[in-house]
Amino acid sequence: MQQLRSITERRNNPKAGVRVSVESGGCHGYQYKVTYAEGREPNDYLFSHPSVRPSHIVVDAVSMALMNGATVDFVREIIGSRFLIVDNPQAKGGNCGCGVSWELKI
Amino acid sequence: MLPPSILALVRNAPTVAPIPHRAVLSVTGSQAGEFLNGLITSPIPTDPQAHFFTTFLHAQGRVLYDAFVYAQAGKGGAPGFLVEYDARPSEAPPLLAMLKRYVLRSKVKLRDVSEEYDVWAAWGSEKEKTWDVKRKWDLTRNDFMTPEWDENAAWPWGTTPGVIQDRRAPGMGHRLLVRKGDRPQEVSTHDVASAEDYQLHRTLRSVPEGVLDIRPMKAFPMESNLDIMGALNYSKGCFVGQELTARTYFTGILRKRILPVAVRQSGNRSLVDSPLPLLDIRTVPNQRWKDGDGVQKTMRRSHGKLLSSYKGLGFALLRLEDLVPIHMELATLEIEDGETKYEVEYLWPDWWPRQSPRLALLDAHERFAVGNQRQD
Repeated sequence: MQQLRSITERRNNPKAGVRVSVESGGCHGYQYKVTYAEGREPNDYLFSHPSVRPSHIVVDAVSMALMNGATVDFVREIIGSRFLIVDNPQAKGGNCGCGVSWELKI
Repeated sequence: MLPPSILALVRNAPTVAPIPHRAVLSVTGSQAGEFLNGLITSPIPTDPQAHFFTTFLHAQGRVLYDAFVYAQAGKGGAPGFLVEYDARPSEAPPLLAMLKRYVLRSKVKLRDVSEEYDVWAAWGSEKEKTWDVKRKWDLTRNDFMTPEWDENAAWPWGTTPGVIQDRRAPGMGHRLLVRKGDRPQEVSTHDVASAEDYQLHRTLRSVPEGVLDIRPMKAFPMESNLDIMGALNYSKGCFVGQELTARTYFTGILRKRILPVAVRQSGNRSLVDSPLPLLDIRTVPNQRWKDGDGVQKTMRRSHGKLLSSYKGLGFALLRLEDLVPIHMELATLEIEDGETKYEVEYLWPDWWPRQSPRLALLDAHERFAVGNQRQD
């Protein structure tokens, strides 16, 4: 939550936030991509919550279908800090080592 | 090592033969290369006209399809590829449906074009000598043999539209993609043979191909000789199935490989004529192999599997450890199918850089000679 807020503050843009998407590739077939986003495109889902306002999370419709129900977490570890997508109901358990690539449950 | 009856089947004159049961998928679009790159074991070549041979694995690292990829630009010169693979039904999901699930937002168009093409093989001609040169090998990882192509030489798989130089083994010749119903121009200069002749040709060169030899969802890429045949690349970025493949290459041991085999009914000198199902192969010690107490060894577990055969010649997945006592004439490979017994002889390809299985013969001699009463 705090990380999202600090992103907006640093960029000084009330429309700023984080875009989370799913792309093909990676060691298991699909991989998450988290990037800085400004505003939303048509066909995007926008997540706003008082605790993170003014920043938000943006997800495009195609990716949403593949990650609906997942949780966006921010972790601070010795190897680095990053956004992590966890508990995706569409994903089969046992992701690749870095948690970025996952396999679709059919 | 090949008996005369098998040698008689070898066709060395220029020959061209059709390859049946092949499907072709067109993959085009500005992101076609990037799209395929995340799904196959080979890197997409930088030359947009370069063809290559590759594999599709699933997330757990087992083979789905071995495939040839012909470079073919799409409309307006956009990057494009024709993926040619075995069309026969198997345990793997159909390739087009599977690839469609990965497209997402990529600018990629997928189309089944199997109705537009036929696949043929041509071998034995003088033309091949210009490019079918002796390979160099990367043998840094003991069990794995990876061909090394000279970076300054021409691209090994060729760049002529619709024509692949088949580098899976020496002597394989060319692979041709022609319009459905047409015959390749080689028919005027080569003997026209049958699809079965192509199957024998690749069996004798130890090239497993397709869903019968390389069983989808079950086969591992290195066991299926895909490293030797030039489909695997260990330094490219993430692709589906990379974890197990990289882990096996860097830290693992290879216990089995697919080898060509000749099958005879016990006691017969000629090869079996009828096709055989997927049968287990057992290593059976003979009289000369006794364990430490001088008692004749017995082995009950099955050690190999017959994958495919045609007129007694085919492929089997064999445990490499077992090949050593067989080489030392202490055991034979046998199949028991109900009442019938068969003998199996394996053929170690003479062009593989390692002349014998992983256990060097000297080393194995010590292990197997203990307690053995050989009549040398």
